[in-house]
Amino acid sequence: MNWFLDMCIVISYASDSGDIKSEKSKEFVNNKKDNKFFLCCYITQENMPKWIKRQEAILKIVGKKIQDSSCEIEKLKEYQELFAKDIIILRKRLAQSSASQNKSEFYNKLKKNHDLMIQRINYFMSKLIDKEVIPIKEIKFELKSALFTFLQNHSDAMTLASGIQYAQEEELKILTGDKHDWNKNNLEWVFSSRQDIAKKYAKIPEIIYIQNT
Amino acid sequence: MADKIKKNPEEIRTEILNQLKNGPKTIAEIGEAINSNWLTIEKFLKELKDEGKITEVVSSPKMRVYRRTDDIAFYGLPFSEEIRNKSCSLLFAIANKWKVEKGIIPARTTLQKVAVELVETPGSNLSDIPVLRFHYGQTLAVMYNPLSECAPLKLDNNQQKSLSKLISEYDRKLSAYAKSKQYKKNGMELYKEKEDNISKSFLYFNDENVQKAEQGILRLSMIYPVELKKSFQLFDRLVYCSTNLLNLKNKEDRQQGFNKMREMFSLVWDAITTEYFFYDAEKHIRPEKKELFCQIRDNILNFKLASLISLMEDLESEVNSINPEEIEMPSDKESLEMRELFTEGIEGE
Repeated sequence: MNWFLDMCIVISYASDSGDIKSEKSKEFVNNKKDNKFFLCCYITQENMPKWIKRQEAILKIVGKKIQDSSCEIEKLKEYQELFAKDIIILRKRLAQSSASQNKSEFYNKLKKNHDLMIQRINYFMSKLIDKEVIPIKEIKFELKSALFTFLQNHSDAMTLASGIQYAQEEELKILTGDKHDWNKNNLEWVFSSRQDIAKKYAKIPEIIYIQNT
Repeated sequence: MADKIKKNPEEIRTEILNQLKNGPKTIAEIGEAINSNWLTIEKFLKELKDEGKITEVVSSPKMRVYRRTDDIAFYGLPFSEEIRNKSCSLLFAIANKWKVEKGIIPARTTLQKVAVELVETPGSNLSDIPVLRFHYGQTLAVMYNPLSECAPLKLDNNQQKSLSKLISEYDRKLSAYAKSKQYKKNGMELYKEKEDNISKSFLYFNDENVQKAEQGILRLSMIYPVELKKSFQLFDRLVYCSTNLLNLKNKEDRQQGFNKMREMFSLVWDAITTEYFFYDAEKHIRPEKKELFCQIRDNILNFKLASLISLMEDLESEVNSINPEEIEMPSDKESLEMRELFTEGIEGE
């Protein structure tokens, strides 16, 4: 079976945090056998490196705040790299650090867990991916745009467009953890409102949720 | 022109060497100083270089710079004549007094540490002598070479007294004592962490040392000085590799990882402390020598970093090939919560 993977599968696998998605992702990956894993170039070349960079920025900010509690984090250059959702994560990290008895040890632990996670991501990307598909420049604008109109999320639109595009070349299933945005109803809605796209991308891949595997 | 004709080759060679006594110079500077043309200078520079008496420190289309092989300044940096002379003569004064009082000359590391302490002694009136951080902590800008011609600095009574006290304190002590004392100072946190935890842990392999080395390297990343930007990427990659290699589940693999990290750490430490040295040294370089300083610094640092980067890439690729199931993931509650937070909101990525 060919599996087109959403980025959250890789991160859930890498987190090894014991929650259901992480456990299911690990189980799925460890039972790979003859299955083929595809990731789109948008994830490997753009979205994942940027996500990692933002996690590093959060880590650096936490480190600076621990070293100097009077540090105004909003003025740090790393802070400017963060999205609104990252700032929420940062606040939570800072709250975790405030609650810890030994802040320096907290940072060491955070850095260690971060580095171990990054190793798992790197391993996944270099050893478990059978094919990187759809060069970013070849993502069809009309498809991406139609998906974006509905999803209102650039990354989701780029990834899903790559998956649908590649499904026209090779049979595959899409694996994600995102039940909210990536679902059959949404895709049907997009395609029913754009007959030209529906015709061009006739093979709509099945979407499987990691929670249900 | 008449002067030029009169000089014999040996005289020109001696003049060139004399010109380089106080630091590196460009071909043009040497030519101007000894009143010889470019072709003549070029010919004798080549001879001196082949004989190992001088080396070319910068060779770019814009600038060619030479230094004496026996230049006392570290990396032949273009410190002023005053800095060179005063630093060198202080080292000679300490070595001489030590010999008179105790009958021996101390190890060079100890000699440098005592010199630094004397310079920093309140009221010593020696604060114009630069103190720079280097591989083993703080040192003066020049090395002690008993063969170099240098008159010992004349110390006043106060300085003599302070020096005698220091000699009594440091005599017959290992250089580790001097290092450990110096590392307690402000600005030496990186060295202290390295000396107290990492170096000792890397002496031999056992579970306790593996853990101490890992924790020590992580702590270094917390206190890593922001000014050392050039080495940071390399250091950060070292931390990444050490976290993974020192947590391998299989003991034999872990020991191999430990040995690799020991080697890599000492190479990265060399790069970090070289950058530290240049960072501190830059403050003592005269404006007209800044360009030359930057050329020497970039040549040395870039060479070190470039050769290390390829080694680090190999190590990183090895780390990234390890099946994660072979690496111990921390399973305490706090670690699990930390990692869970990494996954928050990833569906929207």
